[in-house]
Amino acid sequence: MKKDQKRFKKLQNINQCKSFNELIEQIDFSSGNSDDLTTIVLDYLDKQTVLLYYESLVDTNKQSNLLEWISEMFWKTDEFPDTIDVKIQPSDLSFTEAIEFLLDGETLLISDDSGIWNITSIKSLKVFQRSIQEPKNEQIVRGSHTGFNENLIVNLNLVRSRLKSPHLIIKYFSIGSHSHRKTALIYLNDLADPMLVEEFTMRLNAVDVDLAFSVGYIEEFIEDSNYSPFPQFLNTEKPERTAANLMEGRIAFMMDGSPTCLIAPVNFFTFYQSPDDYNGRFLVGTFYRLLRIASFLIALLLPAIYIATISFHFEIIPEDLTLPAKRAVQDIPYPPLFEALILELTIELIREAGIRLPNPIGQTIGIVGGLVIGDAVVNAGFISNLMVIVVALTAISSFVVPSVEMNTAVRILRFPFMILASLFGFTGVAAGIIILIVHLIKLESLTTPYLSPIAPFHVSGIKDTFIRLPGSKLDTRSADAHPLNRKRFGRNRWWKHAKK
Amino acid sequence: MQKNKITGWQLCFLTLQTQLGISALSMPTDIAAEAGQDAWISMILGGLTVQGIIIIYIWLIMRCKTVSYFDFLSMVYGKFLGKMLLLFTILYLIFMLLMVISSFQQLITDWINIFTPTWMILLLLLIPSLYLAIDNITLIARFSMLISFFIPVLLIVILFVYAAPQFLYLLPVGSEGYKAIIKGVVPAVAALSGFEMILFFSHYIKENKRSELKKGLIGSGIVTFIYIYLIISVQVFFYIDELKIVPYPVLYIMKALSLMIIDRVDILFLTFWIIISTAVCINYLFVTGTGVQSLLNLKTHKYAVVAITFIVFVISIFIESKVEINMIQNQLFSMLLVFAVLIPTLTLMVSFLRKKVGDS
Repeated sequence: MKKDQKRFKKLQNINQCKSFNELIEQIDFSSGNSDDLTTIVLDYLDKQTVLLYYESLVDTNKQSNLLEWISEMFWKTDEFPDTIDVKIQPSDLSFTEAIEFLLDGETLLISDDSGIWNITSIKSLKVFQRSIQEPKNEQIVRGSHTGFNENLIVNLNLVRSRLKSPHLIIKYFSIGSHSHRKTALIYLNDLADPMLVEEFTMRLNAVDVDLAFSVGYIEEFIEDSNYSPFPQFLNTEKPERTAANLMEGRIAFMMDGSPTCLIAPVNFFTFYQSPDDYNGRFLVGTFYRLLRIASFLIALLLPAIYIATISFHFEIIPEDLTLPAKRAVQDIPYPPLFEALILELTIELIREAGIRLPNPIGQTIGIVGGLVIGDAVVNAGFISNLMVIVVALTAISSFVVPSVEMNTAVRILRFPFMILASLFGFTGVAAGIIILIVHLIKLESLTTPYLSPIAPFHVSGIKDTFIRLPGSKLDTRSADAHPLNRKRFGRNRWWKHAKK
Repeated sequence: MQKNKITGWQLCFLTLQTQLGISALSMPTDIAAEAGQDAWISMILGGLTVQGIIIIYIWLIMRCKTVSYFDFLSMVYGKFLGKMLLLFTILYLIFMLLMVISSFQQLITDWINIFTPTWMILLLLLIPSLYLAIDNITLIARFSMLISFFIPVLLIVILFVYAAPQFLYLLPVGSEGYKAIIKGVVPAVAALSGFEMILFFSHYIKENKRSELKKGLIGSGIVTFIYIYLIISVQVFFYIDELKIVPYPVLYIMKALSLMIIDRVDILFLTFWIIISTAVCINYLFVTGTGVQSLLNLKTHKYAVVAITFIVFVISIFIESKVEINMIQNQLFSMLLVFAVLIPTLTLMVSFLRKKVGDS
């Protein structure tokens, strides 16, 4: 066996094989004798031919058509019919390359033409794909409900058909040392900052992993700060949102096998923008923006403020509320921090349990968790009903964020705030806020400041952060992505003034 | 975006934050102790004095466009004398840090965390400050600008005084006599301390133009106006004899205020104020760090800042009683006079005489 291996390793290229049997042995060896590698040897007069393909990768319909054609016509003509997608390969193809072709789902047709190997590759990959659906984690009320699926080409089609511009550039990268995965960098070359494109390209080229199994996994290899709780790339499964972000001069990244699109550079407020904001009336959009920012603060600080108030600063509760608050808290055996931790952890448990269960059971969990635990825990006197209100409000607020990653960041961050509040009261909360602000100021997304329209401060950026002005007023692109052209469009609604 | 550079407006807010954070809450009492009910006139005069000093700074800075003030000292006075002056300036900055830190710690201990050990409060103030102060000036300037959004909160909360103002408390104007008013300028200038930041931050400005530097004047001007507003608000709320014995009059106003959902606005406000005052610690830590960097020719100011934080922490643990803090605060004006007024003016004159210009 060992001797055999030595002999096999000597051969690099197909044209080094002397005999047909040697070729088949070599291929078998290079593929590790995998059982799904199908080898069909066809003999006809002096023309020896072998057909190689992975049966687990090829389309059976295409394959039977191909075999049918070969058995009838191949011996008579050199011309392949138009229905078969063929490519003539050089005869000095190496075995590694040959295996790569096979792994890409192609069929190799190798025939011995009087001492010279004729190699032809035939596209026969079978792709299973989900139909285009609305992404479940990004549902919107109005606007396009189209979502990406797991096929890169379909996804690129969805983007390009929405952005029919010669400036839309798609660059392919292959990531993964063990298994190559096709990925794509998408940007508009008349808008995206070339420096940022270069930076992104450099980071992608630097990725060295065995298998790139999802976009979220690769994200950790290319993001600016690994240790920050905040996401530095926007994840979206909506082509419409991707197109809108590309028009801001941002860069998108997609991968075969993953319906998620990564978008950078982004700022903190990007995560609070929902496509719905732009489809409704601007007052409503502004109201919901403010509501979401408020929800960020509530989800982050409300339990901490409550704990600080109850354990340190009872005097800030107004007179009329003092007695009800005291009555609720006085018989509780635990300090407020433990009350809060127990309840917060319960909610996290319910969420985590419900997330993977089928829908009907998920609802049961919700009822058991919400009603039974919530009600019983108060009746049992473990936790005050004020705390239940606070934690419930916090939980609801934390799910308001239209981005899953930001939502998790907020949920994690409230625990340190709660601990600081229980140790130092409002002083601790203040120290926590400072550290948070400083962290956000230090944080970068693809080398651009994360807290962009606020620090550094751009007046024009405010138009689409806390508030959303009417569409015709949003005539400049946000500055944080350094778009080559800040001006989005010219003067609109001139007819309004022209009438007079 | 150039790293380690700031714009004129960022300089304005850096100055503003440093000045405001130090003594906005206690300053009316100190000035009223000298100038009585004409404290606000003293504040106007103090503000004008500071504007004058900043103009001297601008002259000085225009002579050392790309060199920092610390390095300019050695250029003007020669290596030995320059380094000595630099060392004393660093000691002065550490003194300022000590004063700022222990006043804040005192305020927090007095007002909200009565039983928390001193060193814990010091750590709560110093660790977040250290976290930013080790980084570059651009980020520090962004922090100062971001924090400035909290200032309107102060102004709006104080507006409640004008529900029932006693403008009679201000009359008759000038009743204390000009001597008292002039005497009041001393605590007024001390309250505005922090304006010397312009000296240390100016060489980071992208385009070191006079017009950019003048935005530092705007920063100091805004602080003066905020102070005048605070003093007048305090004076129409407290009778002057009352004001002289109330330690943090601005907070006392808020304590009297009771809203429907929050009873003690002062405690919640102080939470905001801690955030604002951290900017002061950050700015002083950074400046002191760069000073030490210049003195010892270090590559970064990072380790210098860490060392200074540690020193300040250790010393301020021992500053416990109010008497000690008052002693330090009383030295503030004379220190300010020497290091923020006399030395820069002298440097300007010597650099004129020796025709030294710091422009690479």
